Amino acid sequence: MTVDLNESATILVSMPTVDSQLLQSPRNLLLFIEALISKSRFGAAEHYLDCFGHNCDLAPQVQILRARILLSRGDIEKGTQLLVAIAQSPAAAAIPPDLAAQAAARLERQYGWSAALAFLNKINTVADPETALLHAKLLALARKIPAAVALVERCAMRTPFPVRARLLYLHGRLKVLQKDYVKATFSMGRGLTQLPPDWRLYCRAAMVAEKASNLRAAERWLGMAVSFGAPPMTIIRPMTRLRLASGNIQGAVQSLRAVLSKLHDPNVQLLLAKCLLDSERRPQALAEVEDVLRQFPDHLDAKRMQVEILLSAGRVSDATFVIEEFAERVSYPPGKGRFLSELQDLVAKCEEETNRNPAQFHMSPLPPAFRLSVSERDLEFQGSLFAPLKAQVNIVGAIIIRETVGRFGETRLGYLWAILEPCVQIIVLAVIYWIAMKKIPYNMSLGQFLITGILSFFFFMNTYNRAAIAVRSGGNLLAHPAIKQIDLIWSATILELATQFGIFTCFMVGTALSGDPVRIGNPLVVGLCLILMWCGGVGLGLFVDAMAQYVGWARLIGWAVVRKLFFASGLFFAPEQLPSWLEKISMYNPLLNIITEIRANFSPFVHTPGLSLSYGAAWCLGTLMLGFTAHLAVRRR
Amino acid sequence: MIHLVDVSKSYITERGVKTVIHPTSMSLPAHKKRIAVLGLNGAGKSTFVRLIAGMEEPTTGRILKKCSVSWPLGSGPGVHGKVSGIENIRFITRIYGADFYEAVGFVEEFSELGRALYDPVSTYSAGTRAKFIYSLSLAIDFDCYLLDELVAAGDFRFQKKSREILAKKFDKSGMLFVSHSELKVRQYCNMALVLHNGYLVPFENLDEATEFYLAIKHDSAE
Repeated sequence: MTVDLNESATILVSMPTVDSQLLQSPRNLLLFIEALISKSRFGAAEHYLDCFGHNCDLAPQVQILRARILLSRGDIEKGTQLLVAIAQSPAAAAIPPDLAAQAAARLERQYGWSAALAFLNKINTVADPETALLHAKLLALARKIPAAVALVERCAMRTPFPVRARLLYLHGRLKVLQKDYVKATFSMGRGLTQLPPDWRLYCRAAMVAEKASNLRAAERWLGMAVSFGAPPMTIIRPMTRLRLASGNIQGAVQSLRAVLSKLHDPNVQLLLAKCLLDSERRPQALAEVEDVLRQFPDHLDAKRMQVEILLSAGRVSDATFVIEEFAERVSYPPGKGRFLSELQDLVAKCEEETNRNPAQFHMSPLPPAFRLSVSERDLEFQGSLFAPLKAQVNIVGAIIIRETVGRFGETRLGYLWAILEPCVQIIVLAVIYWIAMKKIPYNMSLGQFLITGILSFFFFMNTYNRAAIAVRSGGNLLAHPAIKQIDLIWSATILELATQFGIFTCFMVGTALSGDPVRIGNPLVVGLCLILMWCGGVGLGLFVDAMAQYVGWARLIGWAVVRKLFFASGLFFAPEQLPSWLEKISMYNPLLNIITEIRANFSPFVHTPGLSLSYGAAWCLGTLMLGFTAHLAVRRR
Repeated sequence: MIHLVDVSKSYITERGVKTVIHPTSMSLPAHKKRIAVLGLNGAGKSTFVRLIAGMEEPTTGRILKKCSVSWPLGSGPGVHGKVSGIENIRFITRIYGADFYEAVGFVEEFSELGRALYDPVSTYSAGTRAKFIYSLSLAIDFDCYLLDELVAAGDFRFQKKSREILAKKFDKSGMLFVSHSELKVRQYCNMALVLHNGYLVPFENLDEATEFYLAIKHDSAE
């Protein structure tokens, strides 16, 4: 049976006289005394403790309560002595961990950690996380790491978050002492998620993660340390080292530049120069070093790096000149002679390498026949604008003709198949639609409703498919110096546009011949809408193709988006048929806007307020621009 | 002339940036000069030829071609298997602005394909296909031809014919010839570029180039 001490104390302490019957049981009396202590009524508690005498069975508990009273009153020394005495007896296990922690802290201050550890070793500290933490730290001090790890692990298992986080972090630190950096990183990582934000903890964890070769975690934690207020100068070196180690030289350069924008430090600038040199950007590295030397002309590290950069660029004579100039101008520092001889050794080594190692031949001057003889005028654009345009039109035309022959000319039914393929799809969908829906929106015929939806969408979807693989599938043509990637894209997409226009026209003529009168309100608007669908397909295809250079699954995402648009772009429904909330959402679909505009030119009954052709047009043209920008950005990869 | 202005090529790999060609500025005397491109396996010789051909864009810089440059000979770029040999010739002549009938005449005579030229290329045997592609490569006159290891194709007789026609071509055109073979290089070339550790080292003297190439070959073997 559990006893609420506060409640019982409130009841008992409020009584004018304590019922002697109630206190006849020694255990009840102990509970009563504990209640009094919790209410800070130490005098009354001592009075009742005296009732027990010295030889009763509950003597250890009585002593523990006396120690609690002493510690609560602030008489730490006596309380601690009493607890130490209890700890020597077989009743040591009964000492509550919280009392033990207070006593251990006192012992540590007064007699050192070994006394505190000897005391805690007799206590069961697992029950209280704070005491366990102290105990584990003391065990670690005594180099009893396995015992400390075992204690922390046992305590962590029974302790909930967020207190467990401190135990996990300590576990990580103990594992570091055991040189098990992988487990240390894991424990520290789990602990950090629940600990109050402190950049020091994150820095320490990052260092451990670096040792465990978990560079990604290390970089992330250092980033978090920065966001929790770590001084940039503390972070910058490990951060740069990490990024260099993970091959992210660009990231290292960026972080150094960010620090330099806030704080001008020549050492950071030299670190930046080192990174630039590592990434083969010698001119920039040299510029950074020279900038440091302008402000600190006698900066030895900068001077050394300047010489190194010049040597790595094969400018041996320049490096020699720099050293000689420095030797003449500067009469200090104390170790100047040694420094100069170091630099001269570097130069001598480089000269020797150049003479010995054929790999250094690139540093020697070019033979006359190979010297660059291009003039500034050659580098500028020359000739008329129309000559390359004419050449490009010629090339695109040649590729289109070749593709047309290859795609449709293989069999005699090739061209017919281009018509039959969508025809079969439309017939199947028409049957399903006729069975399921029966009522055709906008008072249109079933054929016209599906043709305006499905074939218009094919302008987008098929063009997307062509644009997304144009460069890959036509890659072997790029061996011809005259053919550029853009020619492949234009030829593939223009051929698709022509094919789709042909199919659309054939279907419309077929519908009219079958007795279903086709009245087009404004053929120019219909044509414009179809071209907009094509633009959207080209743009999205190029964008997905560009993204796929970085992430392989971009093509899957692109294809999933197009499939979703197939069902959401009003091919089989009118927006008015949707529930009002869904109708509002569907208005944001640009393809739905364009397809409804096409249908508005085939039926006078189409009236959907809220839909706008200009919105759809802006999206398609925006996507086209985005696609070409992305293509240009990744073209050189 | 082919001018390389600050041209470099690097690829982003999982292990970081791999630089195949460090920034290089030089002019290649393409007219009537036969330049060998030597280098160890994986040095980037084919990448260099692809850059010159325009198959790949340089990471930095520009390549200015002041002469007509062929595609890498014998690689059969743009040969569409589903269309006939004649249609393939028509396509090539169209993009290079060459005379179609002259090219057809050359291919017909040189490859000895006859009526097979009117069949889809996918129906050709491997040998016939190689002959057709090689003939097509030589059907158009260029100022500079690019050869990636391959000098001749097909059977022995065709190979002999190929060498003869190449020798004639090189009287009035230049060549950039990628090879591992020192002997082939000595046979065909009079200048060389050695690609080593991403640096293009040019030599006017072929003996110096082969000596240098043998030295790096020896170093890598150690």
